[in-house]
Amino acid sequence: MKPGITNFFRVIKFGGQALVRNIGISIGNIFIMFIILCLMGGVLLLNSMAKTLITSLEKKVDVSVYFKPDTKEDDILKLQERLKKFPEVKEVEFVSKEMALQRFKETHKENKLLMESLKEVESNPLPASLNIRADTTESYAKLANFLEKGEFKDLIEKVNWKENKTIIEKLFSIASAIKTGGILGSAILVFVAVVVTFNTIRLAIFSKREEIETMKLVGATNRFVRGPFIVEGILIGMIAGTLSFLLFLLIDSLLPQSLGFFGELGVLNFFENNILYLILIQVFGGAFLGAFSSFLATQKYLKV
Amino acid sequence: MIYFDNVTKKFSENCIALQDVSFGISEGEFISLVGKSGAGKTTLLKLLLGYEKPTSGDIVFEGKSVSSMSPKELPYHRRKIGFVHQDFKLLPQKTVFENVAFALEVFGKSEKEIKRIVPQALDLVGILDKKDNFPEELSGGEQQRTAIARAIVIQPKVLVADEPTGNLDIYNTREIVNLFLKINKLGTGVILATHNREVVNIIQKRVIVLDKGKIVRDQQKGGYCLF
Repeated sequence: MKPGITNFFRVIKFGGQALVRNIGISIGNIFIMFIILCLMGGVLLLNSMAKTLITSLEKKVDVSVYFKPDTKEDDILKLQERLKKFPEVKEVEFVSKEMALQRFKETHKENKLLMESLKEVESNPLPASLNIRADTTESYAKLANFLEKGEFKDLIEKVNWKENKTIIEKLFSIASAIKTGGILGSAILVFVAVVVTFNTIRLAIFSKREEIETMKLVGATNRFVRGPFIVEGILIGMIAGTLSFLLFLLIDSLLPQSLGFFGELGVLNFFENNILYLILIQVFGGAFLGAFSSFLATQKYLKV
Repeated sequence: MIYFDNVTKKFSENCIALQDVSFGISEGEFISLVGKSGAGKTTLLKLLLGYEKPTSGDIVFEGKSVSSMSPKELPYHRRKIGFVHQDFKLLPQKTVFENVAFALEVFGKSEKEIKRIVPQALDLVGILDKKDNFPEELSGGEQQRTAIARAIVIQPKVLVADEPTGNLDIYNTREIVNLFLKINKLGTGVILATHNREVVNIIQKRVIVLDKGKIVRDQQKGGYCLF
């Protein structure tokens, strides 16, 4: 075997040896990293849950335009086309009188009184409508303004914008607060995680500074001295990452299947859909964090 | 083989460790470097190993200037010099065998060679039976033997020892000194820094006396005398 390859395997062997022979310090480091990775994983999960929650809420927000009973379907479709051209508009759904009646019957089929009075009316009392979804609150205001004052205003019976305005605005402001808060929170936590891990590993390496000096004394190159520390850092990170991943799996299996989270949004789905993402973040993130910290921490003592 | 050419080392304006030191050492020579604490012995050895750079002058080792070596060249320079320290400087997490093997591992020697050479070195210093012990399980004398085995296992051109008997009792001191003489007989040069009268008087070889950073005596076959 070439000396380079021999030494590569030696560096790995020394790293593992250091981990095992220094088991007390290693366990301490693994524990700290484990907590950090659990926190990071938790925040990431919460973040992506919040994101899905926001999207599902945003899907529920819309503005309906009700047309006068004698409005022709052609005119309504023309307006629909017009609305689709607005860049803010995400979706415009046309609900004809018949569809509106069917939906009404579907929703209220339990309510006998309503059903009977509907039968008595004989003709269809419900108006045709367009349901509009846009991207921001400002867009809704703009659209409402266009509908109430533009060329189509004579066809329109009512736009339910005013009634929904407060709740729509509130929803959007909550959503944006969650978004910024989540990003800020994770950024702070990731920063704290990096600093804590770095300091832990730095202390461990500080206690070995004399050994580093001895290794250099014997003529070891920087790579040969640093290598085992990096391997040790990677091992600590991977063990901690695996442990925290296993903890997440355990929590996942303990949660009852029926547990719903904000309606259609299941916590379980989150674990299962994000499992690869979680492994990647925790195990490899841990390994990277360990390696990077070891690299930086040894730097100072190698200048002999 | 080694030449100190007008070497001066100042740590600050009023802290002069070495001043205009010049002397040469030929291959296989045994030198006792004598002086009180603070005379500049350790600084001189550190300069030779490239741990410190001289303020002026130069140290030449096998025709190459040590002070102008790059950080990448230094490990290869140090591998030609075996170093023994007063505090032994063993790796606490490694056994006696592994400590000695480490010096060969940095060379990239194969496991087979290491298994062949290390026991020979351990046998030479008389500590083969402790090869699986960790440093903390050894006496001071045994730890120093391990350090010497680590220094000679790479077959250095010269063995440099900084107060190697400083932490040892009189019996261990004698044995260690005899070990150095034995190693020297096998052809390795030795530079032994010490302030121990007994040590110098046993050796009876070339003595260089340092005082306040200057060479005050350089005698081919001398005993212990500070002035």
